[in-house]
Amino acid sequence: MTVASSVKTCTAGLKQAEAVFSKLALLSSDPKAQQVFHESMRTMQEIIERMNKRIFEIENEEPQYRGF
Amino acid sequence: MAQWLEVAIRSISFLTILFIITKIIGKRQIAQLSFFEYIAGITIGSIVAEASLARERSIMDALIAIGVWGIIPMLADYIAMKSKTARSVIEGHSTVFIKDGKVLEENLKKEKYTIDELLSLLRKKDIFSLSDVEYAVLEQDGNLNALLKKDKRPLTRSDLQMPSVNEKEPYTVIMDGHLLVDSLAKSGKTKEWLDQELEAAGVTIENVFIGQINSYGELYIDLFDDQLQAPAPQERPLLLANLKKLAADMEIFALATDCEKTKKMYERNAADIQRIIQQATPYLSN
Repeated sequence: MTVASSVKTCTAGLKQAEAVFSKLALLSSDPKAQQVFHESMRTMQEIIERMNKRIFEIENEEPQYRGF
Repeated sequence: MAQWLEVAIRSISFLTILFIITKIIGKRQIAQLSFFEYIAGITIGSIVAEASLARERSIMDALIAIGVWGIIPMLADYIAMKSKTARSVIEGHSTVFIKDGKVLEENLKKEKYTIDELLSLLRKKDIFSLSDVEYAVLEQDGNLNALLKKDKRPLTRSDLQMPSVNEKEPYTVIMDGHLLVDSLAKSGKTKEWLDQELEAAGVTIENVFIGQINSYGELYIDLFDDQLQAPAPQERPLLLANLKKLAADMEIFALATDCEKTKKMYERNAADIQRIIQQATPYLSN
C-alpha cells in the first residue's frame, strides 16, 4: 500500500468514528454523555481537517496518486 | 336466600370495598410504614372476615366499622404530614442500635430486642460480623438499616477516582410483540427509528418479546424464539477499538515521515485521539 492510500484509508476510518460519535451524541439520553460524545466529534473533525490538508499536499507532490 | 349464596355475595362485596379502601389509603397501607397502618390493616381484615361469615351481623354495622378504621389511618397520615410533633407521636421514631461501631445496650433493652435478634436482623442485611458495622438503626416499621464501615463498603467508581459517569434509566418500548407508544415517546425516539433498528437486527416487531432502549440509544431485544440469538449492540466497543487502531496508525505515520512539520501534525493527531479515548472510555466500554 502506498503512503497516499494508507493515509486516505486512515482518514476514512476517522470519518467513520466521527459519524458514530455524532450518532451517539444525538441518541444518548444523559447530558454529560452527550457532551463527551459531542466534544469527541469536534476533535475528530479537527483531526480530519488536518489529514485532508495532508492528503492535498501528497496529491500535489505526487500527482500520480491522485484519486486513490 | 341460600346460605352459601349469601356468604358468597357478602364475601365478594366486602372484597370490593376492601379493594377500594386500600386504593384510597394508598401504597402506605401495603408498606405498613406506621403503627396506625399496621393495626388498621389487621383490624379491617378481621372485620371483613367476620362480616362475610357471620350472617346475623348487619352489613351496615360492618360498613361503619370499616369506614372508621379506614378513615383513622388517613386522618393520622394527614396530621403527621402537617406537624412534626404529631409525626413523632403517631409514626414513632427510629432507634439507634449501633453507634461508632458499639452496640447501645440501653436502646436495645428499650425496644425489647435481644442480641440474637439484632444479629439476625444484621444477617438479613448480609452482615455477619458485628465489627463491620459503623452505625445501625431500627426504623419505625421494625426494619434494621446498617451503615458499614468505609473499608467494608462495596468498591465504587469514586473510590477508584475514576471520572464520574451517569446513565439514564432504560425504556421498555416493546412488550409481547407490541409497541408501547407512551414509553417510546418518553424515550424521545420515533417509530421510524425503531423500525430501522429492528430491520438492522433482522427481526419484525411481532417476534420481539421484550425491547429496551438504554441510555446510549441502543436497542436491546429478547426474541420469542430462544433458538435465535438477537445481535447485541456492538457499536460502542467497536468504536473504542477503532479509535485505538487510529491512534496507532497516526503513530506509525509519524515514525514513517521525515518532514518535521508533518511529523508534528501526526503526533498531535495521535495525542488528540488518545485524549478522546481517555475521556470516552467510561461511556464506550460495556
